[in-house]
Amino acid sequence: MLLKFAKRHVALLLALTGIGAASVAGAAEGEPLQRLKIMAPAAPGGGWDTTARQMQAALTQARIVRTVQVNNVPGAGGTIGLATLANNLKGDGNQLMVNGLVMVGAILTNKSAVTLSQVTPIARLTGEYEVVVVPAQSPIRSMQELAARLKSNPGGVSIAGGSAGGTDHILAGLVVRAAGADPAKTNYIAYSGGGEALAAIMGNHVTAGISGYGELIGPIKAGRLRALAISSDKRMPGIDIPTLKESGIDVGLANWRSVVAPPGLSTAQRQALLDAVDRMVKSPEWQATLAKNDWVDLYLPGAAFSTYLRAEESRVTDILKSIGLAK
Amino acid sequence: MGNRFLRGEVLIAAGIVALGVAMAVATLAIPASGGYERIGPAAYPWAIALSLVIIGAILVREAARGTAPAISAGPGSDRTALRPFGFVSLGLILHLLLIERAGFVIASATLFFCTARALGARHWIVTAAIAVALSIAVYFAFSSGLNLDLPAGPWLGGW
Amino acid sequence: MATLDALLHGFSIALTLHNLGWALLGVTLGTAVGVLPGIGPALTVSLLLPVTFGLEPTSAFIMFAGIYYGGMYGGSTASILLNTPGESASIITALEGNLMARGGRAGPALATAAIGSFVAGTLATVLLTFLAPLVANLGLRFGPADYFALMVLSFTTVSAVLGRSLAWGLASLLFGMALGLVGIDVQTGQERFTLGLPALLDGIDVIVVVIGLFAVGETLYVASCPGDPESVVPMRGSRWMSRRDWARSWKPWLRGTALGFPFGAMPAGGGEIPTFLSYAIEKRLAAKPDEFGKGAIEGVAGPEAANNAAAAGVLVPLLTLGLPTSATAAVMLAAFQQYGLQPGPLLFENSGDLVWGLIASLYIGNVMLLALNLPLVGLWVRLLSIPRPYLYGGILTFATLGTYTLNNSVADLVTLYLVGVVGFLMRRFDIPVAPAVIGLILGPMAEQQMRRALSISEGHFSIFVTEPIAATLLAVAALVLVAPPVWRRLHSGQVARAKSRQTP
Repeated sequence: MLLKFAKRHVALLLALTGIGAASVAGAAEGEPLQRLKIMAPAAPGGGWDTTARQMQAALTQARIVRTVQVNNVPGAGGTIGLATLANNLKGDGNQLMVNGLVMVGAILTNKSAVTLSQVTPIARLTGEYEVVVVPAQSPIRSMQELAARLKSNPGGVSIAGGSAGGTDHILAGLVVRAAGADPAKTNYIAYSGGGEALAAIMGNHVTAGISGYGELIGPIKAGRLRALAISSDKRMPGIDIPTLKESGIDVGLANWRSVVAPPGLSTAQRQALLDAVDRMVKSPEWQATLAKNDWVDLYLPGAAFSTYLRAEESRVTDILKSIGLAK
Repeated sequence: MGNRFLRGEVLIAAGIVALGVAMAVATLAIPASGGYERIGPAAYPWAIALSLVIIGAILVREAARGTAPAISAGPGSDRTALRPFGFVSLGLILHLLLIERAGFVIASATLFFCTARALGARHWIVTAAIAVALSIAVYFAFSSGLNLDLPAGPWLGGW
Repeated sequence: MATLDALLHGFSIALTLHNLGWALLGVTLGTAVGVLPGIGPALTVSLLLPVTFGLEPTSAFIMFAGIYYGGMYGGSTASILLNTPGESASIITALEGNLMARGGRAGPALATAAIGSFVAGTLATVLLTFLAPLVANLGLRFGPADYFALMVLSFTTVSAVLGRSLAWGLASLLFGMALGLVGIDVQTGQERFTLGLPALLDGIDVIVVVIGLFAVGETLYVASCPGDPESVVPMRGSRWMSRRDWARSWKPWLRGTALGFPFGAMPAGGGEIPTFLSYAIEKRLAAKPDEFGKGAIEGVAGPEAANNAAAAGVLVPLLTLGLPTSATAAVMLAAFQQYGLQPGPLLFENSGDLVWGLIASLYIGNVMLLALNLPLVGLWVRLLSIPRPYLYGGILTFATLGTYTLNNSVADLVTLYLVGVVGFLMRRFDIPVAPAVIGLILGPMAEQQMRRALSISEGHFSIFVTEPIAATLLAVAALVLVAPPVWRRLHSGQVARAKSRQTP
């Protein structure tokens, strides 16, 4: 470890002084997965980027792949990265891309020319459940009360969350429909950054908010937000929040994250990627990462993931059409 | 000199009107339905397109009459040299065409060379040498030092 | 006093040789990346995240904070010397700063920026230390209607950067607002003005526009208008600030800090708006307002202080509420989570060593940055003695590098060139560039906040009058627009009368 850091420092200092021809590690070609590139189709700092960088750490620390590079191709809910993967990286067996539920929605709302059927699904990795919250000052005490308000006057219930057509918006639509109102009447207030949406909820400027558990748990524990329901199918161990289903809203939704590979891979190439991901998921390093980030292990590789992907695509298409975001 | 300048100014003002009109046309394609907010995604574009047309029209009139306040462009800069402009442009266009095909080093060196030539660098061998040396130094500083993913091109394949 | 004890404890952590080393590495790296256009602190911190995996969290954050503050210091250098700001918070610095440099006063301009950054950074860190929870809660009071009103108020600052004519300034502003509309509408997910190009779905990056309008536009202009050989002037006179420079700088530093810190601490504030406001206020308060546009030191001192104070302000919601309100803060939040830490009120209780070590390191980082940057003034100024062909060749090399690495996208390079040509034309015809950037930053914020407010109120415009903060801010905006012409008329009347009395 120490040696590696020392090497990095030298490289950093060289970079600074601009003298820098640091040693370039030559990777042997031909042997699969001596090296791997993971594309995060989002800007640094977000969920996909974190997933890619944590994979990078786990894969190298568990000595599964020697060099792993992460690159960011941000834009349009990941559909720019998706197009790059499908069009420019065809047949590249050393390339993975992180994606997830958000991309399914983005493909629809952005009318993306490239869809997920044009890439090679590898595995669903992790997920995070969504939580419905209200400000601490709110008179609403339970999910049932919120549902009753939604049913009688959906316009009076403003719900803050992430960008239009994303996971939060999808859940808002599903909840409004399950509460017995028209999903097209959802009064959804979209924010592009997680922090801004959170501030609007904490500041009591909206009736309710929807976001991922990881983002909300801090303010919930600090007593600034009141959690009404979580979107998991069953109660989560260690989390004292009732599920939507318990509260009479028959909706379950996971904000899952997965990895996919470029199209046009040989069976051997695909198998090599599946093996590497499988070894990573089972490594203690990855398990520690899951625990640290509060990510739920939703590992589902290969063909089973492909089937799941298609089912999610049709569900998301249906609700986005009802909300009026997709045609 | 004044005439040439005025003609340019009229053209730019007309360009502003054209931009406003083009925006208005494109705004027709945006659905105006606004849901609860009522004003919808087309309201701001309409307001800006309209303002552009009005401001542009005022500027066309001012510029054509020559009533606009005098231009305080730098001394002796009444003539634009097209050759250096073209050289810098060539450098930038070659750079964006080359960066993913030939790699960062070649693209950047080409850009540096063209720009330096445009600004009057005389010894072109020296300039080329500096261009290549700087590009290589920057490439290694950023790709190895900061782990940035710069296109290597066919010559620096391994990383 | 508990805070003071905690802070002293923090210093005992930050002042170890080990952590001082990390702080020094951070500030050095931050200054270096800050000078380069387009390569900002957010990118650097996220690239360095994996490097710090094995590092103790306190040391890692001390380094990150160093990069963050260092980036803010470095940002002014290129703006002042070369008129090529690398990020949007330093475009205002470029206005007067570059004019000062062209007048041979690059030294004092860089010095007032560095000292102003130090003063603002330190004062804002003091505010962060003692007032963080209070300020964070005040920031939460701002809802969409209030933000919209704040944007309206900020739009009035455009009048300070209009240049030769109101109409051309407004045209520039509208051009920026039009660029800001490109992309997916946040509220409805509808495409606007994307011309069917996927690369435009996420809109046009402010950084690409800033680099295009300034770095590329400037290079094209310098190259093709050779009748203007004095665009890079060797320094004349003293390298340091004169007594008069100090006298003219200290008030803008303080006012800049007072503006920057609260804006930074606001969940949807940011570092740019306080620089616009600071410039407008300094111009209005200056003893000789006509020096603005010719290189007024107040116009460098105020905005530079404002953007550094905002940088410290951003840490307020991050540390106390866990709200990331800038790109760098988002990356730092990710770093916290990587160490299993959740920023928020509980962070101070659960990880006091880390938080107070981090806050103490901000004071130390500021001192280091001042010590690093003041001597560097001499070195930076010498940049100007590089032969112009190589200097501008280098500028474009870094400008394109910074642009390309934003999204690894050639499309951004195409945008950069096109915007650069626009920037060239604007210089050629003396159309002010700053309003375009102001429009690009404020336009989308104003639109989105207004529509959010209206959606929450179910379409009732009355929300802008019934919300007290919004109503107050709108009233101030109206006053700013209406009062000066009235006041000027009254004032000039008095002057005229006084004069007529003097001349018998």
